[in-house]
Amino acid sequence: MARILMVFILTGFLLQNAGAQEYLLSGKVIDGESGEWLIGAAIQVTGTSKGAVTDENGTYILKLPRGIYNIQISYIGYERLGKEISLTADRIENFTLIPKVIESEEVIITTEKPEDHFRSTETGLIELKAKDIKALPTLMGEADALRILQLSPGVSSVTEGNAGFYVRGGGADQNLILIDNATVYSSSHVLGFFSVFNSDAIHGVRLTKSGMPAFYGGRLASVMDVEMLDGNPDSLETTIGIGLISSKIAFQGPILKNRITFSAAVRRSYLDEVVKPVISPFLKNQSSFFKDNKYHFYDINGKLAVRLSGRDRVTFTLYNGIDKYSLQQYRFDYENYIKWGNTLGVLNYNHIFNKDFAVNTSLSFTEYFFNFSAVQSNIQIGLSSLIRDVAFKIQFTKLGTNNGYTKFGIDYQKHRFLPNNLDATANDLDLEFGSNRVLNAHETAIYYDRIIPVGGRLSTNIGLRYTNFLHVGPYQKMLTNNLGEIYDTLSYGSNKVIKPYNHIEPRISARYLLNDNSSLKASFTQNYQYIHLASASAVTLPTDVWLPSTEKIKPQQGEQYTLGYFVNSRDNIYQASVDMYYKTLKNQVELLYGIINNFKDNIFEESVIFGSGSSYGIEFYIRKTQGKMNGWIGYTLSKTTRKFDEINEGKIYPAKYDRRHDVNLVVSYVLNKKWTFSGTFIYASGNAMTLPEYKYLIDGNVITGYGPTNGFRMPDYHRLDLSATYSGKKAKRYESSWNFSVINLYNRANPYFIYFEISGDVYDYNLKITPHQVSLYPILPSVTWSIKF
Amino acid sequence: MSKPGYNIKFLFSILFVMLYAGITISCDKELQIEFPDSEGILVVEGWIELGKAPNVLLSYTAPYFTEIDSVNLRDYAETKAKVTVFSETEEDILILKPNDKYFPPYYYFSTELFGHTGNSYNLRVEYIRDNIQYVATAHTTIPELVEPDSVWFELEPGLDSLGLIWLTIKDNPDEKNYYRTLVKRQGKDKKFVPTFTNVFSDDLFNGEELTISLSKGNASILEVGGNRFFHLGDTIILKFCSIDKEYYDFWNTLQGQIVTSANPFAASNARVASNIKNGIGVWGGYAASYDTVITK
Repeated sequence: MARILMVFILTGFLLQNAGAQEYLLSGKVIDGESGEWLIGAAIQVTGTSKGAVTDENGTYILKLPRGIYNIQISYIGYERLGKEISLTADRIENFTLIPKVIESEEVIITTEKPEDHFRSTETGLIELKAKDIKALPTLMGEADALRILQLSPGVSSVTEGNAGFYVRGGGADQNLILIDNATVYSSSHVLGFFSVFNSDAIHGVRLTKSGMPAFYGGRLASVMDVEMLDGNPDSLETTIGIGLISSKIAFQGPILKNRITFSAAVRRSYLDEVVKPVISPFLKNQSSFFKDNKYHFYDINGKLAVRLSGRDRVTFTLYNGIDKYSLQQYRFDYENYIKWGNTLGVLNYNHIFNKDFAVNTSLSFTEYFFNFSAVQSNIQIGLSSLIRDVAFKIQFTKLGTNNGYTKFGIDYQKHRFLPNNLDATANDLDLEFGSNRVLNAHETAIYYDRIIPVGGRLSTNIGLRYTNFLHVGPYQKMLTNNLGEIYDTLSYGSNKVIKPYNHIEPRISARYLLNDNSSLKASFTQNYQYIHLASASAVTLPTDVWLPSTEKIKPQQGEQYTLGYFVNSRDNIYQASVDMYYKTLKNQVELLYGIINNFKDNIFEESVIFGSGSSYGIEFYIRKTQGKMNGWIGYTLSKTTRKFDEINEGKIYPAKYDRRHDVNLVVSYVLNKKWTFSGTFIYASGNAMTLPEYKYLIDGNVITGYGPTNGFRMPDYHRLDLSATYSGKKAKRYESSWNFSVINLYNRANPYFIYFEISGDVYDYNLKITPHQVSLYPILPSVTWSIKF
Repeated sequence: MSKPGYNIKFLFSILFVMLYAGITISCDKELQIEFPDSEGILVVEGWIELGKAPNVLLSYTAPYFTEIDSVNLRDYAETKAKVTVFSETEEDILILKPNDKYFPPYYYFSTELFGHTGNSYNLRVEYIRDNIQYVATAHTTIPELVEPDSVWFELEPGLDSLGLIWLTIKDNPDEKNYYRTLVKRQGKDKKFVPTFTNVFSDDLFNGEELTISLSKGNASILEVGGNRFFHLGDTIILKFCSIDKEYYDFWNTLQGQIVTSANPFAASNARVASNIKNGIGVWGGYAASYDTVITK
């Protein structure tokens, strides 16, 4: 008995005295391949706080009242097992676990229990599984992980139709997006309507918005870690989804039983082929869009998982997605083509040395490119931008007691940037825009991250990350005199270091258990970011270009402090939290007049200005995790500012991501086996924008005088979306479902942006200016049919 | 060598059209919200050319959404100010004259003071607005005259009767130079119209000889698009100005604002520079040379 109690205390579960009528459930947990018993396997009783771990003989003992229980058995390196047990007397039950090779991330996933909400040291973690994503209302039939993350406190999209996301006042470039350990640089299709993550290809998503562990880095605001599906190990499964503007097909299954599995998914839009003929008659002069425009995107996901042995596993993940857009305006003798996309490939190899020591290595390639070309009369213009990385990562994980662990490793990335390659010809004459500048850099990080359970109540996660960034040649450095004139250029050879940066990034977070169901958590993190996204506009667009840190462009620096109260109640059915944060940002960059204006001579560094920023806020969150009706409500009160000497006369101004109030309500209701309903409601303060305040005339030009930068608020944003899913009868060979969704049910015209139309004639002395608001989504119903076999 | 010319506005219009996709499938409506009112600010448009008398036009800013017509327009002109231009050695109070070319309908003019190379000129405007007296001031210098070595018209290959104006200049390597170009087509233009991309600096060709082409600009912001070429048969006067930094900044930022105007995707900090204290606008000194180009 002493040992059992020890075990209970060790696992952090508190044994409750449930009265006299209790029975013993005991047995062993066994390795399904070798038949050996497993030490330290976790046995949990779903819906209760009870659980046990196996001792050195692989034995567990649980004391439970009479009843039917769902028992979950998990062990690092093995598939999780769930079993229903009816307990009417003392009972012996052995469980057999099938080994699987784990990624080191799974070390955390083994603690993925409802109690983690208040028990883990992680302060700002949002986790979504594929089923959560699919259960909520879809936009034109596309379930989208990013859109759902945007419904969480502290996470927002600046405007609708913007799949870029903004975490706690950080920019879109301050989020690290990983697919199976490889970086993704652009997360959206169709100018932001959809994210690049096909919900049929992903297993789950984790978003860390504070207390970033030391094994993550290179970005200031958050990490979005997307895990792709390994594939069904038992049988071949095909899923087909047919939607209004895009369709997709996904396969997954075993190639070699218990050894090799695969998953593959393809998605393509057919806005042109299907929507155009249907919709054209209804569009009058308002839209020549469908006449002149062609648009489509596709993406392909693939993953192969190979289990070499019980201890070794290799996966290979591939992603390729392209957007193409063309416009022909015969009236103006004008046409343009735009193409952009991501490609990545990543090889992950996991090896388990023993039950508590593992290594994960990955080798990856990733590329984001953007090409634009336009022709009008005799003038041709081409603009292209690119970022390409090759990365190698190695991470060791050592498990400690009580969910403690130590992780250490190295991340290395070789970056290649082509920020802006502009070329133009006019009447066959080449216009020169300076040399095409390719920039190269090496980024290396060494980290150590450790969770130390300190006694029962206090647990801490400490980490240290050392980062080194080298801007290397080939490079032509312009030497300028004090008048700003270039008097010479200095040439650097290949891999010659032009500017090195070295920084130490401390990370610490701690959890203090107040009682059995609540805790206080606090964190401090310091991060450096060596790459920058220079944006020409108020929204995140594919035309934004990535720039490395150089001698002139200093790395971004961010610090975040958080303090939160986390509580669960009613057997973890309800979770609630209040989380406060304060963030400071240094070396933020802006382009003064937009990309092209400044890039005319490709001396992009000259047009970049530097400033600082801060953000603070408080987030309230209540979630019901189980039952027919579940969902969450979140409220965020926050303030985000920026300060640049060159903007707003050097005075502090609201950042474009500043949102004072943000309310999100997400509800899902399972009526019966056939029908599931869900709804989301969003309310947010209007976006900050700079408003023209006055106009004046000089030399026949109407000049606009602006008010304070971002000093005006657009009207508030609110929207209700509903969705109903009808699941057909499960046939032997297939199951099908219909999803009906309505986005923006009450057809609120939310402002996407505001622009001003000038009409009249200066010389006739009459002039009229009218403000116009453009909204993106009207009421948008959609239907999708999915079949799985 | 870099050839300022085409490009900038054109590229911006392309970016805009590209985003047109997002706009046209969406809904566009006139916005009915309260916009903040703005007090009138004194607007100065003044210049002093080498060998010529200073000109100063004064008006006030109008709230952005106020409709302007020929009736209320005159309310925005300032005709009762005391305008003084002075250098170290000279001073003159300017007199009011009618202006038939463009707004405002009056301008202040000197009959005694003329611009000299290298001299600094101060502007002082004393005016009363809502019974309160204000003083706006500014300062400029007339730079050394730089004349183009040659100016000519060239037909565009493939185009029958359209072409551009070309010129070569030799830049002074010992100083930072700023230039502005304007043209007047005889019988067609009321005044000198800035060329498309009308200011440039010697940033990238300091001390060298530069050959550039000039395209036709728009006479006003409302003349969108339009032909960038000059017609065969036009008689064109090119005004080539050597300007100072402040004057350059003003026209350069104004040019930036024009190309991004009505483009919601452009940077929102495209503000127009000003060198007027207690007011906005520009007071600039320049040295100009004039060349007549007969297109044939």
